[in-house]
This record gives sequence, structure tokens and C-alpha cells, in this order.
Amino acid sequence: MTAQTAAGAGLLVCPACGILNRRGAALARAHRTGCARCGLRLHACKPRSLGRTLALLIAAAVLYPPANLLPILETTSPFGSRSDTIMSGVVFLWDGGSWPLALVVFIASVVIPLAKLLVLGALLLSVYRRWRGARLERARLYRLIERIGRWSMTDIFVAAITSTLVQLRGVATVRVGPAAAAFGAVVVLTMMATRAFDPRLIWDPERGGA
Amino acid sequence: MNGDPELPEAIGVRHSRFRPELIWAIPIAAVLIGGWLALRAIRARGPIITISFRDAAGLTAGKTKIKYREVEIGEVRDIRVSVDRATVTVTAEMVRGAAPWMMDDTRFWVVRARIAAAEVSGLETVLTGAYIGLDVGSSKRPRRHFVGMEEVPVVTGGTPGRAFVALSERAIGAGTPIYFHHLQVGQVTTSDLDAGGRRVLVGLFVRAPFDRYVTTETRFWTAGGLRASVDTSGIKVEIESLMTLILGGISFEPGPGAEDAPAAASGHRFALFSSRDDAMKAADMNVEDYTLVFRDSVRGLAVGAPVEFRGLAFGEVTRIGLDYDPVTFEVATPVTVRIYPGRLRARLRHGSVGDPREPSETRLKRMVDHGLRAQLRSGSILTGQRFVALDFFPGAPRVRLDPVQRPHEIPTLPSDEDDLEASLANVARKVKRLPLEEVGPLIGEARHVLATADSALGSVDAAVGQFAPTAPRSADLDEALQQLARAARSVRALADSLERHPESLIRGRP
Repeated sequence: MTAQTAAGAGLLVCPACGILNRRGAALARAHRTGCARCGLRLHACKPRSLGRTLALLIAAAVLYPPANLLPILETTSPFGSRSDTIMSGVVFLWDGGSWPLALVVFIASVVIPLAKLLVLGALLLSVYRRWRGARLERARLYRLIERIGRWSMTDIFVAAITSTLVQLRGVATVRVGPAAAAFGAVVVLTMMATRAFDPRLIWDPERGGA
Repeated sequence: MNGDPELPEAIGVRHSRFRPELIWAIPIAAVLIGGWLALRAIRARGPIITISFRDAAGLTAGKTKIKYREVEIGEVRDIRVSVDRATVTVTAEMVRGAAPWMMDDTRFWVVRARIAAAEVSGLETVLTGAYIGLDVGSSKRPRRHFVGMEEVPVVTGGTPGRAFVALSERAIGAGTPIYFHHLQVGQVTTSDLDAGGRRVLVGLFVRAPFDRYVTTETRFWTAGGLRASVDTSGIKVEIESLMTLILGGISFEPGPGAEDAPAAASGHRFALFSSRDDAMKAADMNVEDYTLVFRDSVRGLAVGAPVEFRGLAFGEVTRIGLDYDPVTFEVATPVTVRIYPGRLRARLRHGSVGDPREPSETRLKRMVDHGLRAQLRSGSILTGQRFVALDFFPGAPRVRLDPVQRPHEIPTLPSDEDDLEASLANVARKVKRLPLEEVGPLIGEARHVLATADSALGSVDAAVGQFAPTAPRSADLDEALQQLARAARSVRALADSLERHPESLIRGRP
């Protein structure tokens, strides 16, 4: 099946109002192209998609180790103080018998961010190398990580809520550790990287980075 | 193809000022933040140390903290049994700043809830679990492997004050308070046997600023609760304080003559007396031991019996031994006495005599040359107790002293009572040899003689009756006869008495 794309037909789709615009050759030189109806900037492809995705991905990858190795919650109580990393929390839950919860935390906080980093990295590589195989699978993978990305924030929500709720002055305090910021940054950065990536590049790698 | 001409053509919009290169600021910032976090985590890591304990009661890997003065400076990472299974090795990670504290003489111990007689401590560990305490010494040699203490030390380093040693007969529990004028100023830290196992070295710690009251002349004594004594001045009951009544304690006070004594150095050794009275006995610090070898019986002499000089007690018997020569069968009784010369010296009216720096050997030699001898004497005829008397006997035979013997020997004289006993026995032997059996017939004869005399007197009486009573001759005769009758009565009484107590011939009237 030969697919005709809007760009291939010299057209630009406005993602906001849905009309088709013709690409004016003269305008493209001096100005950015915009939707004739609503004025939204139009691109045949997400601009500088590969560069932006790569930058955000690198930032997320750099913050991933501290997010997992540093304590995310620091608890002080009369029974002593302890600081938990994400993994020690998972182990604590697992040892405590609530293994379904441990599994949820493990998948949401460890597996998903890591999967996003790896999948995005692989997609970027495939576009750079202009691979032509397994396009459908790659497109599905992209849709998958776009959908599950936000679930990683559960850990941050839990940490934020417990640290604000458990503030029994002088008896017990829960503080958010340095890993929370790093972890939040990882989640946000991977989501941004996912959005910056243009799935059309999977299908038409030649246009990459336009 | 250029699209459907009916479709509107895209319009131009102005360039935004957005500079696409800015996107790379995000990973750069991420690298900086990540690097800073990593650096901070690495910098926070301190030395890894191991401590071995006898057991790991209350310790949990990943939870138990190491605290210095209640400040967390480390955490236990791992607990395992040592290779030889004799101890438990605790691996701990310290904070970064703790490196200079991990020195050669750093001591570790486990703080658990402890309820001892003297104090309740570590109660917070009931809730928080045990923790490992440490004390930093003064060494500058770093160390990473430690042997933990099983007992929580009473005094930790850095507490200002001074440590002393008291020589005691018995051990005193660590933590026992030390009092100065009933004010608690320190504690007993340790009780340890000396090298020979003879005495107990009790470690004392006196806090600053009270440690400056401890001078070389300070006397320590055990303030063992209640003390009652009966003497010529009546009954005396002393209680140091209610606390010491239950727990015991050690008190100290400056001894006599301590006004200008120098402050005692750390580690100074003191004697530990059993009571304040003992401690304050003037110059008992100066103690001399002597041996006295007696050839005669020491019956009535006991350990603790006094040593007197002309009635002034200034020492006591500490040991009574026995020497036996299996070849010659010579038996002697060496008696060891402890003498406190200061007790005599304190009584001198004109202060000290002689040169105090003179060695005791030469002084003793001079005294023995002048007739110093020891003698056993009877203290009480009723109980038979005896004591050792030292005195000068100018006529005593000269004696050579063994200069190397320790303790020095003071020559002895046989006791005077032994002479008396011997002469009494001599008398008894003579009495025994008297022919008492021959006295009986003598008495019979005497009676016969008396009866004859009586009848003779009767005839004399009859003859006298023929005279007129008024005649002067008659009156003289009358008087003579009366005297004669009285004499006869006396003789009869003597005879009766002799019959009943023939031995009175020798011993006199009973």
C-alpha cells in the first residue's frame, strides 16, 4: 500500500482546527507557516524533534540514578529515624506481606521510567539510522510509552502527600528526600521527550530534524 | 503536485524569538544537578569500620545507629558472626566527619536499657532500640577495626577530671559514687585485680573541679552505709547518707597534715581504708613489717594482737607461722608484725628524733645494738591473751642481724612468765615429794600425849584444890592452872584441825 501523506501532497493539517492548508513556497522563506483559519503555527513535522528528544532524554537519563539511589523519604519518629530509597520502600512493602502494593510501586516507579528511557532511546536510534523494519511495532511502542508515562508520578504523589500529612510535631516527621526532586524531574523530562518525539519520523525518517 | 488550489494557502506568522539551542540547557542542568547530588552522596560517606562484640543483642543491620553524645554519626550496615564464631562482627558506615574519630583508642559499646542499683540509663532505647555509643581518646593513629566493650563505661573521655587508683581488699562495683563532704563528685570506674591477684585496683574518677581537692595526703575510705562502734566513749552510729546506706560509696577527705600537700597526679595510688577512723589514723601511711622468731610457745597470741612499746600500742600481729627443721627437730615460731612508727612518733614531745632519711635498716641495727628486743607478755590473766612487747633490754646478749632478710628481724627474748611458770612447777614438784602418809600416826601419838597430859592436869587440879583459895600462892597457882587449861584447849583444837587437814602442816590454815 502506498500511503500519501499531507506533507507529500504539499498540504499542512492544522491540529487545532482541523483544516488543510496549502504550503506556500514564498511564505516559507521569510516567515513561519501558520493556519489560515486559526493562525496556529503549522509544521510538516514537529520541529527539531530529534534534537529536542535527545536533549530531554539525556537529562532524564542523568537524573535517573540519583532518583533511585538517594533516599526519597526520611522518617523521624521516637522509634528512630530511617531513610528510604524507592527500592528499599519496595523491599519493605514486600517483606511486610503487601506484595501487590510492592509490585505496583515497583512497576510504576522503577520499571516504567526505565522502559521509557530505553524505548525512546531505541526509537531515536532507529530514526537516526533510518531503519525501515518493524515500523508498526515501533509506532505501537511509542503509543504505549506515551500512555503509561504519567503513571510514574504516583510515587511522587505518595511522597508529597505523606510528607504533608505526617507532620506530628515532635513525635514523627516525614521529609521528602533529594531523590524525590530527581525522580519527579525524570518523569517530567521523559514525558516531555515523548511529546517532543514525532512518530511520523518512524514512517518517514528522511524528513527527520526538519 | 502542489495541492488543491481551492484550499486556503497557509499564511506567514512572525518568527518567535525562541532560540532552539536553549533546549540543550536542560540536559546540562540535569548533569549539573545530578552531579551535585552524586557528589553530595559521595561526600556524605564516611569510613567503613568493623566492631566486634560478644553478641549482637538489640542490633539491627541498616537500623542501629552509632551515636557520639547522642548525635548520629553512623549506621550499622551489616552484622555477621566472626569466622571463629567467638564474636559478632558489626560493619558500620560512618558519616564523613567521623573519620578523625576512628582512632586507635576509640572505644565502642552497646547502649541498652540498663537498670542498675545506682542508676537507670538508656531508657530511650526501649523505644528506639539499642544503639552503639563511642568514646574518643587522644590517639592520632587511625584505625578501622575495633573490639567493642561489653560494659558501658562509667566515665567517658572528655569529662574533665582525674582518675586515681585505690588499693582495696575487695572489689567495688563500677558506678559506685564517690563523695566529698557528702557531695557526689565522682564514680568508681573499674575494679581489677593486680598482677599478683592479691589486691583489687579500684579505678576512681573524680570530676573537675573537685579533683583539685585530691592531694597526695588525701585519704579514701569505703563509706559502707551504717557503722556502729562501741568504745569507752559510748555507742557511736554513723551513716554517710541514705544513698550509701543502700549502695555503698567511697568518701575522701584530706588526711592530717594535708594542708600543703601537692595535688595528686592522675593515676596516683591510694590505700582504701575500711572506715573514716582507720583512714584518719595519723601517720599510718608509713608501715613497716618485721619478723620476730620466738622459740617458746606463742599460746594466747593471735593475729591482730597489739604490738606495744611500754604500753603504747603502735602495731599489730599480722601472721603467725611455724618453722620446723626436719634434721635438728628445732621448732621456731616466726611472727610477722606490722608496725606504724608514726603512732609513736606522733607522741614525741620534741618532735621527730633522728634523721628521717636514715634507712630503716641502719636505724634498726642501732636500736638492736642498744638492746631492742621483742617479748611475749600476758595481757590478761583471765583470758590468757598475749601481746608483743618491744622494749630496750640493755643487758640483753648481743645478736647479729641478717641484713638481707625481708621483713627485717627483731631479736626476741624468752618471756618472763615462762620463768615464773617454771619455778611454780618446781614448787609443785617439791610438795609432791613430801611424806604426807607419815603424818597420820604422828597425830595419833600426839593425841595420846595430850590425853596423858589431861589426866596429869586433873590430878594437879585435885592437889591444888587442897590449898586455900585466898592464899597468895593459891591465887598464882589458880592463874597458872587456868592458863594451862587454855593451852590444853588450844592443843586439842590443833589436834582436831590436824586430823581434818593434815596438809595444813605444810600449807597453813585452810
